[in-house]
Amino acid sequence: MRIERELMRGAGPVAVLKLLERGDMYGYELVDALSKRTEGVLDMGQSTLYPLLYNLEAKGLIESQWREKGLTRPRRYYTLTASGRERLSEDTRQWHSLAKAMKGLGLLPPAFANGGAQS
Amino acid sequence: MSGTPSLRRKGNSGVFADWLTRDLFAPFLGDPVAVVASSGLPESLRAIVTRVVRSTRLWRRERSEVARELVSHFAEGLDAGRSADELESDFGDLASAARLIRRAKLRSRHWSWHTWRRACQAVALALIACTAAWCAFAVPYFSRAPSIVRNFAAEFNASIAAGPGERVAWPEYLTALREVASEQMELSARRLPDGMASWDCRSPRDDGWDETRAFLVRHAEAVKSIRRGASIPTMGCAVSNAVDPGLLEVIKLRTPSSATLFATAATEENPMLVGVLLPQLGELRMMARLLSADLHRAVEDEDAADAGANLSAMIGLATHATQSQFLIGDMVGHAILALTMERLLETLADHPGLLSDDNLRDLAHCLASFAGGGRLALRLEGERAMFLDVLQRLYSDDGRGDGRPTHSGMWNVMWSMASDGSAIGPFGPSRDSAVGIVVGPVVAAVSASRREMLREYDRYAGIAQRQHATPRWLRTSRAVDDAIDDATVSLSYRVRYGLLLTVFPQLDRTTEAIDQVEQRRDATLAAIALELHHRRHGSYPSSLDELQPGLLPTMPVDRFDGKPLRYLLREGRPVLYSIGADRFDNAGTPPETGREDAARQWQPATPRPLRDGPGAGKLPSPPPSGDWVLYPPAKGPPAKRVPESNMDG
Repeated sequence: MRIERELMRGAGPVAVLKLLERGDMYGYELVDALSKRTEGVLDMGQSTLYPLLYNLEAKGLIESQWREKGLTRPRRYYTLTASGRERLSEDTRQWHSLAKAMKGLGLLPPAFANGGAQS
Repeated sequence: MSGTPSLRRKGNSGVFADWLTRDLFAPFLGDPVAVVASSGLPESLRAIVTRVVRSTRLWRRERSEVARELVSHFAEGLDAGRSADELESDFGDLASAARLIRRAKLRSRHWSWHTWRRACQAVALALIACTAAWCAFAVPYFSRAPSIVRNFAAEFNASIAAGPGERVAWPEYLTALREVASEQMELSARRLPDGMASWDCRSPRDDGWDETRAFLVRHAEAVKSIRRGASIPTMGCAVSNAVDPGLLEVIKLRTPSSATLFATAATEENPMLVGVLLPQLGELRMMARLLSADLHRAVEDEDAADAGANLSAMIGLATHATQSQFLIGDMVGHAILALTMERLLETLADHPGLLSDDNLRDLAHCLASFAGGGRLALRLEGERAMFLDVLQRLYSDDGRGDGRPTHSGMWNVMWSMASDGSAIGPFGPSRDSAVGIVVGPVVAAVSASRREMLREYDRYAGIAQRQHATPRWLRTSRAVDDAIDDATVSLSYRVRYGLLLTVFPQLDRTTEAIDQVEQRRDATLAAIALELHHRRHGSYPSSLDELQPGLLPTMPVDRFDGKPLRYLLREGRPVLYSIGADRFDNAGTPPETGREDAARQWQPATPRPLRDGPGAGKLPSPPPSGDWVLYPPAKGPPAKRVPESNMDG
């Protein structure tokens, strides 16, 4: 299932920040991880991912560097910055509040919302 | 510390080269095409990268970075076992990708680039706005043309023309001028300090009087012609942009070079009033001075008839000057009248028995009835017509009395107003100068409209007339000057009404000059009455009341306090005086020598700083202590001839 553009616009950045919280990743790896971990819901092509990454970089939430050592080809790795961590923390709180509100409205099953809030 | 030896090894030129390549030119370095070409990707994927990267329109380095990352992405996909077609379909919309990448990359550029970009955008917007505004202004400015419907010169000439068969004075004056012109060049070489030629000498006390006297005797016929002309009610000199042919002949006799200058102007059917020539005014002043000199000759010869005739003729000349219909004509007429009264008072004081009773009565009648009698009017019809004429030549006409400045009108008016024939202001030396074309529409847009301009003119003229109607002793300020000063505090007003401020006359000073002439006239009438009283009773009256009503119908008023003009007897001789500008009665004692004139210059109780002249911005000097003695008139020191070595020609 593909989600609407407007929802993607809000969910995409925080999803990328969340993935980078666990460690540095490069573009293809991010696309792949997003697709697999969201079961294709947040599947995004290059045309969406790279502008998103450049925007996060312009805002200072992530930074990048090319790495070649020990690799078959040069890759540009993205790293979460301190500002990015703060932003992720804030966004996470907001998403939890949003999920709670959706649950109250009956848009989310109780178990889903509770599980989302605890993870 | 490792950087320091490296710097030392490279030297300054190496560091500079690094700075150039790394920082200054870095955005323009890089080769995105080479990155894609050497990627080893299938053709379809290379085409995607190339198209996206090119569409971003970023700097070369940025495009290289993007290309490198996209290539890497596709390579990872291929390594992961995906086909080129799958990767191509997963990519998404190329145009959208390029647009979003560009937007994100621009956002990450340095703040100085954003500042520069904003500044460029602001300048571009301002230029576009200015250009649009200029076009909006320019269309009406260049497309409209003035509509010249009134011929003010013709209207003036119709009103001053002689009736059928009526004689006019101008031919008599030309006869006199032609006769004296031949000697004028020779005599004008011998000048007095005030620039007058020697035949212009004011009195027998002046250096060169003998020559003047001989000149007058030689040209007695010319003097008679002037007297004849002055006795004719209508002068008959037309308003024109060209010099009268008869006068041109006189000018040729005097100074051939000047004649060449004047002769170049062709007579226009509807000349612009601002550009009309009034050379007759200068000639009238000159003839008045000639009669003044002949009055001295007549007094020396005890020739009462000639003396009286000269004085009457001088009043006639003054009347003719006022027939020009322009304010300047009135001012010249008043100046000639003031000279006449000064000579009459001198004659009464120094030779009280010379003029007959009839002479004195006639002169009193002429003076009292000058310009219709009573108060001298502030006539602004000519000035207003001049302004209306400028407006009709400069502005378009919407048929309802309104309009905007036009290109052709602006050019024609500016050209006509330039005294030396060169264009003035931003309009450059030619009609289609670039500056004039660019600035003209803007000037037209910010200028007041035709109706606004005329309304403002009439407002100031109304203030001037009310000021003139207010007796001098009741005035507290220079109303017109103050109104203009108050309005011109605003820069936008100065810009909007620049034309009006340029051409509007100094009416407060004009009113004050008229006041002075009236004060002199009242004193002269009183002096004549005193002399006639003395002849009848053998003594002067103890007060002016005794002259009323037979010899002096109206009690003269001191223009500085509204009380009767001061009168006293000193050593058996009468003295008439005004308390003067200091508004204090000094018992008929004038100010210190050299400041006599200042006693008659009215000043408001709380004067404002001077608007122009050498003392601009400063408060005027306080009036001197002393009275304005009107009778007997003060005698200045005799004029001395300027040594030839000091003459400037």
